[in-house]
Amino acid sequence: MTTSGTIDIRNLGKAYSSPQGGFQVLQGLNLTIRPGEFVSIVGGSGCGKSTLLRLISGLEEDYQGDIRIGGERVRGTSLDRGIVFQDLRLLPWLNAEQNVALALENAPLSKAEKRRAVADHLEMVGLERFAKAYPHQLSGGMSQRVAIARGLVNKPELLLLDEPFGALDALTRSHLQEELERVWKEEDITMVLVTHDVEEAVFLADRVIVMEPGPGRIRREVKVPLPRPRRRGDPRFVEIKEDILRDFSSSRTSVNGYAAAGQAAAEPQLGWAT
Amino acid sequence: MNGLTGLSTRRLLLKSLLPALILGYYALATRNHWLNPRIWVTPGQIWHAAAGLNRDGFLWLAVGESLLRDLIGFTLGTASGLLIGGALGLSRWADRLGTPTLHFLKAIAIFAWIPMLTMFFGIGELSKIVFIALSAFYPVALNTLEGIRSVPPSQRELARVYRLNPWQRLKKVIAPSALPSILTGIQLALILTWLSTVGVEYFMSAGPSIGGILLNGAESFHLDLVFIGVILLGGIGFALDQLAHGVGRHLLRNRPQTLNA
Amino acid sequence: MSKPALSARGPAARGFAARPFATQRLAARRFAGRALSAMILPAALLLLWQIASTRGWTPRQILPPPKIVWASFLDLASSGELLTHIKASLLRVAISFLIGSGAGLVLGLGMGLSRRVEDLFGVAFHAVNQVPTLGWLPVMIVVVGLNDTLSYILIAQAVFVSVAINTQRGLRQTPERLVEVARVFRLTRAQLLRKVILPSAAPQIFTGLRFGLANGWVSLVVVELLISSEGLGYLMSWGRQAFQLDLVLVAILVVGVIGLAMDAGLARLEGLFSRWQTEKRFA
Ligand SMILES: Nc1ncnc2c1ncn2[C@@H]1O[C@H](COP(=O)(O)OP(=O)(O)OP(=O)(O)O)[C@@H](O)[C@H]1O
Ligand SMILES: [Mg+2]
Repeated sequence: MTTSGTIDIRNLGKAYSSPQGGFQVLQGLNLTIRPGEFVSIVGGSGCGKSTLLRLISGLEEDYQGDIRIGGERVRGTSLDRGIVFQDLRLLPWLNAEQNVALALENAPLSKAEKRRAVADHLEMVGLERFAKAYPHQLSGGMSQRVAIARGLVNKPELLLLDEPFGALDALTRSHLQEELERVWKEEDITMVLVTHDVEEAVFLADRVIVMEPGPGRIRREVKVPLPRPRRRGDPRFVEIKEDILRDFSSSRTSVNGYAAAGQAAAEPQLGWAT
Repeated sequence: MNGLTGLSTRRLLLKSLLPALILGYYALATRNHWLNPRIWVTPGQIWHAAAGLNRDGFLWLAVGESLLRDLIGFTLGTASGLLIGGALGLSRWADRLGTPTLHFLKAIAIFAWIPMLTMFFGIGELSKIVFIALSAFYPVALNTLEGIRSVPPSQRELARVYRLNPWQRLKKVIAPSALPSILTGIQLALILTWLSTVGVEYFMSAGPSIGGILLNGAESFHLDLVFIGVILLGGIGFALDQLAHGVGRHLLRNRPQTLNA
Repeated sequence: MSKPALSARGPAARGFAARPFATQRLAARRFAGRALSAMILPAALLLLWQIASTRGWTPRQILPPPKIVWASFLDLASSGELLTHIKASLLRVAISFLIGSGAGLVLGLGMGLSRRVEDLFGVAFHAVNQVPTLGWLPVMIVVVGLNDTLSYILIAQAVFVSVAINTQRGLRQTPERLVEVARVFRLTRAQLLRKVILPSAAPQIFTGLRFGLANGWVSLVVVELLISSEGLGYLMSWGRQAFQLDLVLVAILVVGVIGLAMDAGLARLEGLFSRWQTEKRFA
């Protein structure tokens, strides 16, 4: 039962102003995401993926173009839209459990229901024994799992995930990917996942968006019409992955300034200087 | 644009509201004798008194005396603080033997030493200098110690990898790494010694000096003199503080945000 | 210490639940060693002092032998006189601390949370602070007179300044990235304050309280040296006038011990409130 509407991003542009002048991070970006869809975004470092998620979440309201969800322009944050930050942002003075509970602060649930939800989600990410541990007592990967639990616990209609599995070991990683897929299916949450891992992107997404920098925009979209659960060894899976990887590596060269003259808009260097 | 300037004018008004009220009330109250005119002096009287003090060169003499006293005490105290703090930081044994005592001595409120100093050395210049030096000593010693202690192990290892001898290690690794902390200590010392200079002058009735002006003013109930002393104390303190921070920033100009506390 | 907050439900959780017994014993032994070596220097100084006075290197009036100081300490202590002075000083500081820190918290919170409050009070506050608290002493003497009220005002001001400044600074330093978390979860202003801003500012607020207490203690000594008829500062100044260095020394030591104890007490309190901070692994 999806209540959230289609995400419709039209001609999106975003510039950061710095003392050295403005810097165009995103330009002319168009993207439509259907309710309940799983979209992965890949692209070189600094091409504006995190910025895009910030804009969709409503944290940043100063942009050009249009971001609409169900026809309504995004204004400010909403409990319907969750985000798992790239830098986690656990509150260091709250323990794991309290950090997850933070997301339920304003949820229409009873105390007992909140406790249950928190416990369930900590268990889901395998941290039930670390409920009382403070962030400084957790490893990087464990912190990441707390952040994921916090993002999922209030069951937003749309969840934005910014490299949520970056610091995890391979085993936990694939376990959590499966968990994420399960939650996505069960709760019917729209998910947008930013990742550097192309295999992960293909494994989870209905559609992979490849971004390129200078200024950041969409290079192309790749549909992943494979049945779930997917097998990573499946030749069709590998083929899609290889295809994107090729794209990805050539977009990397454009990051380094070898892009075709027409593509090198603004000043790519400035982005690396800041 | 208009909204912006309108906003900032409003803020400016808000900012000047309280000072304007206080100064306005003070001017009115002293003029109309709402406040006891024997005690509360008008701004004009303060200015007058300052001019009077300045006529015979007394004001500058007092400022000079105080600054010189401060400088001597500060130099002695900072030097001994660097020595002791450095020794405690560099030698594990010195640290274990001396640091606890240092921490205890530091906990003694500095002005508590004044009665004892006057008994030992009288109320002459020596007591004053020792007291001022003492107030510089603690912050410099403790910050030097702290700075050396917190040299990152990675940097110490680097020194071992390149087999630096103790002198090289001190010069290339430990001293630069501890420098920000040491400078913080010296800055603190500069501010504290200024306060204790004036304080000790007040307690041990020095001749022409800022503390002397304050003491005379307070004992003869001359608020104009007291205000002159307070303004000098605050103004020179501010200047010293700025100087210390300027020097610190200059010395650390190549480092990422160390001194912007 | 209090019971560890983590109930160890599995072997993996025990890692940060409690320190294993063996480490505790080791730590205890190391602490004993530290304490012992810490006593060497004071003991040596004491010995030197003893020798100096028995050999007559210094006149008795200027430096009485340790025995006499100890005797006057016992005398002062047993007669209850010392306790009277300590009580007087502590009471003075406690009352002034409550007033000063209360006011400082209110102003600091106001200026830290609202630009408008800061605009209104900031200029006057910083202008007054340009002169150190003790610099205002002569002004107060003229205006208020040499009496007890003066001592309360002065000590309270010393506390007030430090608490207000640090509270404001702490509140202002809340990392924007954590405020954004609150925005994502749509916390109300009150929740934002309780969950994010106050905890983030707590260490700095505590620093303010600690410095405030230390400054207040220094001011107490000054004020009592000058005006009071009771308290440790008075004991010192009386001892000096009577040329009884033993009294002065006793008072100095007590001032030091109490200063140390107060600081340690607040540091401990601070540790309790910011347990999450004790060992930052990921800065
Ligand atoms: N607050 C800011 N002020 C100025 N520039 C910014 C700001 N935030 C991001 N940028 C710039 O915007 C560009 C895109 O940043 P963004 O964090 O969106 O990249 P990203 O694609 O998420 O990179 P990564 O994969 O490394 O996380 C970068 O060049 C960065 O320097
Ligand atoms: Mg990013």
